[in-house]
Amino acid sequence: MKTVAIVGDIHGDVEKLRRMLRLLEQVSQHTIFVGDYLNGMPFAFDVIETLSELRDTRPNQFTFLIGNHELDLIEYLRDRNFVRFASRGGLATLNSYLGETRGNVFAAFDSMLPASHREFLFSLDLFVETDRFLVSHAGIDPTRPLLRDPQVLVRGVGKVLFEHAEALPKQVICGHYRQRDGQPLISPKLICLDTGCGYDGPLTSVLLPEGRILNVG
Amino acid sequence: MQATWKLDRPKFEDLALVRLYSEVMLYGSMARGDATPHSDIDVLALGPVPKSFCRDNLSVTVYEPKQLRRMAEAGSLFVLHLQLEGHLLRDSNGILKDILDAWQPPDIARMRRGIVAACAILDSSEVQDDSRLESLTNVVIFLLRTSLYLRCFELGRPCFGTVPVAEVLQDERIVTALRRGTPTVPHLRVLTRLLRDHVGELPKNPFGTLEALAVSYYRRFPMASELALRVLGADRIEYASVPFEWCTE
Repeated sequence: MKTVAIVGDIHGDVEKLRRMLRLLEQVSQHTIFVGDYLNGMPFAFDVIETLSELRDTRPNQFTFLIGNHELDLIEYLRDRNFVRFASRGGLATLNSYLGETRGNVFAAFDSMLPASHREFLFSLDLFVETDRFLVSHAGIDPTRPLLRDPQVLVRGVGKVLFEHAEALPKQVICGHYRQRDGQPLISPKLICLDTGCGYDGPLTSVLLPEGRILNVG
Repeated sequence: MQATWKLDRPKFEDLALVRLYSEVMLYGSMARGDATPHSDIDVLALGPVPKSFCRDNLSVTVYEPKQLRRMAEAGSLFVLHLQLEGHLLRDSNGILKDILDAWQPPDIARMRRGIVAACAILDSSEVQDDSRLESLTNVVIFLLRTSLYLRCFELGRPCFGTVPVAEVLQDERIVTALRRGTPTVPHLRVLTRLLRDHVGELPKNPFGTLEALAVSYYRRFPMASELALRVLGADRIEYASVPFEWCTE
């Protein structure tokens, strides 16, 4: 059976991403990223550059899911609401692409965003589901287990997911919910891989089906 | 003479909040003993999830221990204020005391560079409506207070109440200018003039717009970036990314 790696939230920490990719090179046949590639550390440009190159050169080996921070960026590209995007952590991303800038920030960003990055953002998947497991950025709603609502998959249902985890119909693997002790949450039905990467925490992956955890601190 | 409220320790220990957290500290005017009936009751707690909330005149800020420790080690004047004037209400394992003891003196020159950089916010901040007036006034008060506290610290006489600060700096205007009240354009002008007198000529915004300043200063002057965002109207800042550094270079 082939080994699938699932990688947690990255939040702009390109160094940990590079180290994780080197680890996975040896052990994983297919890698799924749960999203939240940007905001956090101001290196979103390098993270998206790295991931979009993987997508373009080895499309069958990687799946990229959308996180709420990518959704925030897509919304910013559509509605140009600087304050909303910036206050959700987007300043780090804008600084990563623009460095020092003058005047109209949106115009500068819009012209600086490479076509390959834009294409990467708009091609992200919502979830991956097999008979045995489901991967999305923020899980599903255990009280409505058949629902695949994009808002729930990307922005989550909060603590309901954890309070009713035993009701999940299959193994759910997600990020989004930061584990402040830097350790992934692992329970029979739910694995949460956001261990605070980009905010001083490590980057975490899980290998399926064996369940081994890889950690880059 | 203003009425002062004395710290009533049993009353605070009755607060449900104090029982919710293991490390709790009273700070601000109530801790210092120069509060008026209109003063907020400022309470700091340590917890796993940073947040802040108000109930009536009780203002609570919850810090992650590692966040507060980083502030202490970076020379935060807020942490110095906690160390000098705060009252521990609960700290049975000594965690909060240990963090406060980790405080290191700030790099005064770097901090001053960060304050001056942030003053460029005033260059392109026109008062368009009441909410902009309020956010701008709050930012000017924050810059003014920080620069005054830094000056007192530099003189070897750290203090944090407006009256002692005015005494140390021999500037009576400080007390009236920093008295709480509804923001008005004339009051903002008074505060800005006072800021100029204590910081020096306020710089032009080299980036033309507040948005560009917030983006451009994100790494070099994180606090300036944050304050620009507040003036622009951000009412919710992602806590994990809230900076506490004035200058990183």
